[in-house]
Amino acid sequence: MLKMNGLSKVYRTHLVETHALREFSITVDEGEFVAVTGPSGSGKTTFLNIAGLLEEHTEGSYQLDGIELTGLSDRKRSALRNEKLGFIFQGFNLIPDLNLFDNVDVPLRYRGFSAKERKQRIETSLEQVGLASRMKHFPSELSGGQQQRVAIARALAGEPKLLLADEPTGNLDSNMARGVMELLESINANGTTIIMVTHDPELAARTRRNVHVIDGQVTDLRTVFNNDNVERTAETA
Amino acid sequence: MDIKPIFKTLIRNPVGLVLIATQVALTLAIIVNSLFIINQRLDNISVKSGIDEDNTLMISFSSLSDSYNMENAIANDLAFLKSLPGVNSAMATNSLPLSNSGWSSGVSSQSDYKGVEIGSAFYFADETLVDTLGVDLIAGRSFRSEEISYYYLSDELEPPVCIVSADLALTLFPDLNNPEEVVGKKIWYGGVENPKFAEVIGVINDIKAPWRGWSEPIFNRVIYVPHKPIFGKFSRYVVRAENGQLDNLVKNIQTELSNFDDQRVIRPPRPFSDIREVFVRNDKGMATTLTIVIVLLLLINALGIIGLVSFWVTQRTKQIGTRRALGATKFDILTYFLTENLIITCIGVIIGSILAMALNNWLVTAFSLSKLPMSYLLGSALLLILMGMIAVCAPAMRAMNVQPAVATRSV
Repeated sequence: MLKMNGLSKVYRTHLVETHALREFSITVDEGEFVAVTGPSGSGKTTFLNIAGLLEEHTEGSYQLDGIELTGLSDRKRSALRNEKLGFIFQGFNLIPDLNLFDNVDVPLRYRGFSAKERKQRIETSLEQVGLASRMKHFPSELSGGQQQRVAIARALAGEPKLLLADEPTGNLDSNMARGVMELLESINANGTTIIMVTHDPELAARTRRNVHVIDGQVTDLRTVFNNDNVERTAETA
Repeated sequence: MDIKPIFKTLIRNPVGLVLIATQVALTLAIIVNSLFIINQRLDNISVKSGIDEDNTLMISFSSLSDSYNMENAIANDLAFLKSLPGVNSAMATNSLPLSNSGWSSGVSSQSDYKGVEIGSAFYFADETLVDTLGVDLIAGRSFRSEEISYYYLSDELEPPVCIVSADLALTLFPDLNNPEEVVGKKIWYGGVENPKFAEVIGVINDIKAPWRGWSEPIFNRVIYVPHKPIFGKFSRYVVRAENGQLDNLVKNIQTELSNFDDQRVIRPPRPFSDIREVFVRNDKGMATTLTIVIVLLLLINALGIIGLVSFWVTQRTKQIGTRRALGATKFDILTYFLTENLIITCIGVIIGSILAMALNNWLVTAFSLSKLPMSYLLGSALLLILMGMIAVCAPAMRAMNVQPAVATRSV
């Protein structure tokens, strides 16, 4: 599904050069649920941005769903983001002046679906997150957990191959966070690949794979569920 | 780009919409009527007097002595003027078209004035009328020398014959189709109690009165009577120069006349261009002022749009990044802001059109302006929409370049 090889990301100003990622290699298979952890400034968000085609990498190669992404035009990157990726943001990033229906509609309009298909997809995805009855409500009328569910519905409506979640429970209390995590687990159980950046070790522990990023490099902590026993093996990519 | 979600967003957060739409509406209302007034003023400025403007000057004199023989002076001066090199023709007159001063009186086609009494300008001329003014005589004949007499201010105005403008002729005799048919008709003047008539002997095309007139459209109604005017110790000549000789004449004519007869004061000559300049001064001033007002309004409008959209772009940076993350191309973002601005401007234009028509109705009632043609409304609306689109380009392009990675930034 996702394959990064020898990837680096350098931010340059006229005074300083910052290496956010260096020799970063990772492979994520279809259907995996990967938690990306690491201290602040380690490069987690940079990895997520590059994985989500929100930023371009400086060196190395990146393949998504078999497509080499190095050197793609902005237009093609936008189209790939729209078709293959779904985003869940820490701050939900809903558009406050649009109701839930229209919020979920945003990526579908860029996709060029017909009105009928858009309506069907919006209703299905809002049902999936348990908010179909509130589709005429505005984000400000919902709790944080409900807003994040809408953001998940927006991400799911386009039936993405890969769901990228950036601290999806970071702004939620523990009850809401649990609900959102259960929702993500059920989405993963239905076959959608998920990469989730998180600070929360409990959430990371619930995923099948934990990737730890330090100083722009990746340490893969593979978690293997073997009946009720949990075995952790560490490998350096 | 679908306009429905953009429209919904605007309705949900209407302050910007109301501000800019109101600004556009007021601007349109003012611009449409200003353009209309400017165009009318430009028409006024470009009005043709009906005489050979490029070669015409006016010069007047006042005698110093009560015993000064004005008739002899006028006769000698005219002979002298015609003998000057560069002079085509000359005659004594009371006034010229567009000169803002002259005579007018009511005239009728019937002695009892039961027909319509129409105001008309009165000019004095002699047998050289056509040559001296270069007017277009379209029917009948000019004056003959034996028909010309001196006119003193104390005299009753009793011209036996007259030459009229085509507009006056067809207004006095609406049943006639051809100016030719007016020749030989009688025009009555002097009022009901003392009606006198002059026989029309000729018709001139497109000659203008000295002023526009307020209460009635006197501007195209002119009567020439066969007199050389003597206003006490004052009289006035109109001189037509040969082509290209006007500047020389303007330079020398005052000295030449003074040298010819030093028993009077010769005033500086006025080329017709000066007369026209004074005539159109108000129109030019008004047109210039309104043009400045329009430019300033457009500028203020553009700055308003730039300011508000720039604010929106800054305010919505995260939202723009999110849209980009969700698959919007740069072009999608650009068209979003262009469409949003187009919707606001169009709402403003619709309201502004209604305001413009209301304002025009008021101007028509209060200042007797003409009714606003729809072309002005359409033209001004397009101008404002175009201006709005140009104004929004810079902030919209800034929005277009917001990086999608902004979506994951926490601030």
